[in-house]
Amino acid sequence: MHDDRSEVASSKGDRLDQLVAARHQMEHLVRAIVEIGSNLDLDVTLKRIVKAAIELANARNGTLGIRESGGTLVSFVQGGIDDQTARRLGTLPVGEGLRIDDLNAHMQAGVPTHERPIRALLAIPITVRGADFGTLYLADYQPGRVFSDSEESAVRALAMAAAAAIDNARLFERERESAKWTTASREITTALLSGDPQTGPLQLIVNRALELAGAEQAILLVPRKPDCPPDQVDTLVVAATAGRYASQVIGQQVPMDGSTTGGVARRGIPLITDSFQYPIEGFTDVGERSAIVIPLIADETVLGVIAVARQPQQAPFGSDYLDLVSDFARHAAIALALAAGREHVLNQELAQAGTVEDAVHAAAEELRRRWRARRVLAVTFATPGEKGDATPHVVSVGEPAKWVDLPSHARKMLSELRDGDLLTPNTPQPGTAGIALQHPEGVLVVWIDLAERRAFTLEDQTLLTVLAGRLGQGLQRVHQVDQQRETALALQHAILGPAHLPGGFAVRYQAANPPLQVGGDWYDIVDLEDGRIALIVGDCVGHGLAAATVMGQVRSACRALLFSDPSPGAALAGMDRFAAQLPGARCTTVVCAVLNPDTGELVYSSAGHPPPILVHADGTTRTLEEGHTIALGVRPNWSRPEARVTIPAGATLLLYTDGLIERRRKALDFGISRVAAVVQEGRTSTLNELASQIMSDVAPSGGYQDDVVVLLYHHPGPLQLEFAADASQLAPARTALRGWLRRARVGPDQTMDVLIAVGEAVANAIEHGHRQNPKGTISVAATALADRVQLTVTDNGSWKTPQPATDSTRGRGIALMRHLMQEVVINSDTPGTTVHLTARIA
Amino acid sequence: MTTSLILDTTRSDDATLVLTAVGEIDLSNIDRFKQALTTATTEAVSGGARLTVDLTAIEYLDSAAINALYNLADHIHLIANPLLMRCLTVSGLAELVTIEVPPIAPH
Repeated sequence: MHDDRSEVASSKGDRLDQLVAARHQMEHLVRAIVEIGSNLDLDVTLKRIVKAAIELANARNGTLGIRESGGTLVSFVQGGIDDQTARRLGTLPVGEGLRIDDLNAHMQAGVPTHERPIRALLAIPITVRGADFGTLYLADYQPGRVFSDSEESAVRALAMAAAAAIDNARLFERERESAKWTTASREITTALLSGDPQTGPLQLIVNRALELAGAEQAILLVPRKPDCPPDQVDTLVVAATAGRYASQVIGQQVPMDGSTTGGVARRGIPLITDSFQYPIEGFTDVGERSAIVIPLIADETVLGVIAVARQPQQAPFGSDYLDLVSDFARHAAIALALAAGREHVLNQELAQAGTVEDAVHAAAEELRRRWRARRVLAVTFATPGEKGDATPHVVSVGEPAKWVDLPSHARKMLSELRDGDLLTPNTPQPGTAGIALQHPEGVLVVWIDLAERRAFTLEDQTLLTVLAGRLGQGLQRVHQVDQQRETALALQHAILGPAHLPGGFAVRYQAANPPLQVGGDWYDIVDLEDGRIALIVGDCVGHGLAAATVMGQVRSACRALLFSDPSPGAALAGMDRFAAQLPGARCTTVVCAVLNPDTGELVYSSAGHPPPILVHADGTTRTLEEGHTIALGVRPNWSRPEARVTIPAGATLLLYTDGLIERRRKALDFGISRVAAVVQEGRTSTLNELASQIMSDVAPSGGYQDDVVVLLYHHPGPLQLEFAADASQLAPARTALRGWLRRARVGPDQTMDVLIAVGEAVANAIEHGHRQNPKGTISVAATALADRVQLTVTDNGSWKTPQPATDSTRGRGIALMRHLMQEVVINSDTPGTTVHLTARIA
Repeated sequence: MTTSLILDTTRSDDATLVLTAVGEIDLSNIDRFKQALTTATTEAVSGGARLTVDLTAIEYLDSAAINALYNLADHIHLIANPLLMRCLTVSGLAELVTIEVPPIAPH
C-alpha cells in the first residue's frame, strides 16, 4: 500500500498513522528477514532479498549489484531495473549508503532508462564477512516521491540480514561443491577399479576435473619416460586433455625446468595463475584467464600435473578452490598409482586361493601386513535365507576372535557397516577403519585395528577402498572357480566309483593328470542281491579326460551286467561285446571278483589284468593267476574262465592297476613282489593305514606317471551292531559277535574272553549310561587284523569308571575287562562313552 | 527276550545239594540266578553242608554272576566249563572257592 500522507505530518492523527505505519513496517521487516533466511540456495536467496527490499522501501523497482573482489559490479539480480541502467547506477560511489531525492539533478547526464527516468534512489551496500558483496538499489520515478528515514533504516536492517543469509547460502554452496568433488574422487577410484577399458584413468581424471571446475580446458601432464626416477624426469608430456582444443594440446612436451607445470611437479605445491612460463600451444595462448595447476602425488612421488583453465570472462579461481581440487588430485593420484599395480600383491594372494575362505584369510593377512595392523577382522554376513540367520563368520588375523566373544559395541558397529554403503570407508575413531564389500554369500565387513592410534588418512582410505574393491572382485572369481571345480569334482567322483565303501574295504585312487581327479582306471564295489559283494578293478587305455569318459561307461556296464548275472565270467563276456562297440574301450583290462563275505569264497575272472595279491595272516603270499585271459573287446565270443579261492581269516586281498607296479626297465614281477612285501609287512596295520602305506612305499621318486588304483579287502570284514540299550538285547548281540569271532578264526578261549569283556562294557552302558534314557542305543564294532581283534563299544549315555570299592558289581567288571583284554581304553565325554578293547589273537 | 537260563536244584546221590545252571547268565536274568543261588545255599547251609553250583553247561556269565558267587564263596563249591576258568581265575574267585573242572567239556 502506498501512502503519501506520511510526507505531510502535521496533525496528531497523522502522527498516529505514522506510528501505525512504522509498526507495520517493522512487522514487514521481520517477515522479510525470516523469509530470506529460509533458503540455502544462493540464487533464490538473492532474488528474495531484492523483492523484500522493494516492498520494504515501497519502491517501484530495484536491483542487487554484485561486486567482484576488485569492486566492479559483475552481475545483477533483477528487480525491475534493467542491466544497462543498473550498470550506470553502479558508477555512483555508494560508500556507507546513498539516498538521492532527484537523480537527474544529482547526475549531470542523468540516467536514461527505457521507461521513465529514475528520480528517487536508495543505494545500500551489503557487506559479507567484511567484504563488499554488492549494493541494493531501490528506485522510484514518481515526481515528488522521496525515500524516508524509516524506509532507509528498514532497508539497512534488511541488508544486514541479507549479509547473514548470503553467507549461509555461500557456505552451503561450498559444502555442496566440496561434496561434488569428493563424489567425483570416489567415482574415479571405482572406475579405475572396474578397469573399464573405454576410458583410460588419465582421461577420466581430466574429464571430471573439467566438469567440476566448470572450466574451459583441462590437461594432464605426466613424465615422458614413465619408469624414470622422479628426480631424473626432465620432460613432461600432455597425456590427456578435455574441453577446448583437446586434440591440439595432446602430446605436447614441456620441460621440467623453466615451466610452470614443471615447477608444480617438482615442488609438489599447487598454484593458481593466469600466466604460464612455458607456452603450451592451444592452452597457454588462448588468452589471459585463470588457471589452477595441481600436482598428482602418491607416496611422495609426483605422477603428473593437472592444469585446469577457465574462460577469460569467468571469475578466476578462488584460493578456497585450491583445497578442493588438491584433495581431488590426491585421491586421483593414489587411485592411479594403485591401478598401476600397487595392489598386485593382493591379486596374487587371491589368485592362489583355492576357496573363498582361503581368499578372505589371505586378504586379511595382506591388509594386516599393509597397515602393520594389530588385528584385522573379516566378518562374513551371509544373506538371510540362504543359510538362515547364521552367526556371522569371523576370520581374525593378528589376534584370535570369535563373533560371540566380540564386545557388543563392536558387533553393533560391524552390523551397521554391513547395512551401510559398500566400498565406503568408515573411520569412527583414530586407529580404526572399516569397509563393507560384496561377498559371494552376502556382505563381507573388513575391520582394521591399527597398532597405534593414528588417523586413518585420506590416502589410507583410498587404498582401503581400492583393496576392498579388488577383494570383492577376487572373491567373486574364486567363488566361481570354486563352484566350477566342485561341479567338476562331483561329476568326476560320480564317474569314478562308490563314495561310501562297505566295511572291510579300503581304496586309493590317483589320477595321472592333476588337477583331473579321474583317469582311465576305475574300481567298483557292488552289493549283489544274494548278499555277495562284487569287486572290480579295471584300466581303460590312456589317461586324462578322454580315458575317463570311456571308463565311466565301462564301469556302469560292468555293474549292470553283474546285476543281471552275478558271475565274473559272464560279466566279462558281456563287457567284451560292449567294449568292441564303444570307441576307446578296446583293450580295457579288468579283474572282476565276487566275494562271499561270510565264508571268504571268491570267484574271479581277469581280462588281461595284473593278478590280485593275497597275503595270509602268517605272511605267506600268493598271486591269483588263474581265471586269466585276454583284454576286453579284442576277440568276439572269447571264452572267459573263472577261478575260485577261499580267503582265510586274517588274510588281505589286494586288487590294483598296473600304474602301481609298472616301472620302466623293471619286470612286472619285480613290482608285484615289492607290493606283496609291503602288504605282508603291513598286515597288522589297519586297512586304511595299509592303503596309504602301499601308495607311498611303492611310488616312484617323481610320483606316479599313470593312473593308480589300490583296492584292499581284509577277511572277515568288520562287524557292526547297533541295538537298544536294554538287557534283552544282550543275548542276540552275543550271538552275532560269537559268529563273527568264529569267522575271524578266534579260538574258543579267546572268544569267551572277548564275549565277557564286551558284555561288561555293554552291561555298563545299559546300567549306567542309560538310566535316564532307556531309549538310547549302543553300538558294537569289531575289526579283525592279522594279529588282533579290535572292539569298540559306544553308547550315547555317559558313565564314569565305577570305583571297585563303591560298586563291587561293575567295578569287578572293569577289572575283568582289563584282565581279559590286552588293552582297554575308556573315553567318557559329553556325547557318550566309548570303550576300546584290543585282544591279541595267535 | 530274556537270555535262556535253566536253573534246577537237586540232591545228588551222596545227598549234596546241587544247583545246576544251563545257558547264559547276564543282566537280564541275574536276579533269577541270585535268588536261586541264595535259596539253595540257605538250604544247604541249614543242612550243615556246602552247595555245589554246577556251571558245566553255562556258556557265558558276566561279573554280576561272579559277584553273586563271591558273596556266597564260603558256602559253595563250583563245577565249571573250562572255558570259564580264565574269567573265574582272573576275578580271584578261584582263590576262594574250590572249582572242579569236569573231564569232558560239553559241546
